[in-house]
Amino acid sequence: VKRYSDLGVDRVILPLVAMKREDLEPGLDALRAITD
Amino acid sequence: MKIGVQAVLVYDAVKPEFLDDLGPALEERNFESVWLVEHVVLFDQYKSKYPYGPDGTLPIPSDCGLLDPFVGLTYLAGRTTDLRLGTGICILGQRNPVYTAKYVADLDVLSRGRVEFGIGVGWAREEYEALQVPWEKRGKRVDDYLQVTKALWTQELSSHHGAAYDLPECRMYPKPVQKPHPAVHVGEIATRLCDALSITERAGSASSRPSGSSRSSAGSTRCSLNVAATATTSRSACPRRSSQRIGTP
Repeated sequence: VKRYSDLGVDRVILPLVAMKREDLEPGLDALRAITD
Repeated sequence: MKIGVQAVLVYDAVKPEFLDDLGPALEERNFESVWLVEHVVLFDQYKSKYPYGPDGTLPIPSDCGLLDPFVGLTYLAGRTTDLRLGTGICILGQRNPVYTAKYVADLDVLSRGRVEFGIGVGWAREEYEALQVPWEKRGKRVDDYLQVTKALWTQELSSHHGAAYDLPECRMYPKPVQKPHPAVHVGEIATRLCDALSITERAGSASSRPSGSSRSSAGSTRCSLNVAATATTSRSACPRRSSQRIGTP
């Protein structure tokens, strides 16, 4: 994310494929973890 | 840096109880935006190559049941307050542009100005054929359709006379909340097939763009990237995806 930010990118969109409720929070937490 | 999520919702994830949880869960984690994909129909087999995966195949099964992005985003608008709502992407070349402009404007009103309009030309010829929309010249068609949508959003008495669409003088209300209109983000394939953006809107978004970015208009030039993500289901039919760009799957 820092590298993209340095390149002038102001938004990163991360893909999440979800098919059931139990996917949701672990999936979002994982996405958040790689961007924090 | 704004962090958005392209949510590919399949099977039980298209049900209201999932969406009831999705919107608040995104906002609680400070995600800036959610982007819903579009495929009105899927096929068991494609001759078209999926351009964003290593093996050229769409990484979701044909019976997974995607929501129309405008329907899904409208539902999410009622379950969120600040989350930006994006089509990621809307296959503009295979849709009627007048209805599409209407959906965008109405969603912008109902969401109090939170729409991000991602557009593309699509990669699946089969989908165009199912809709009986010509695959050929879809790039030029998107250029024309985008002008139709902008006319409907910004002109009190709207009209457009182009090669692909002739819109007689008419009125479409409500107008979008965002002025002059919601930001338009152009998908990666479309940037090769369409003019799509005016010279002014292209400023700073061509050769200087980082690899994998999309073009945006209506406001400052913005870039969006999808980067490798680890959050997917464990189902083998939905493999992990990486380095996807706006407009996928």
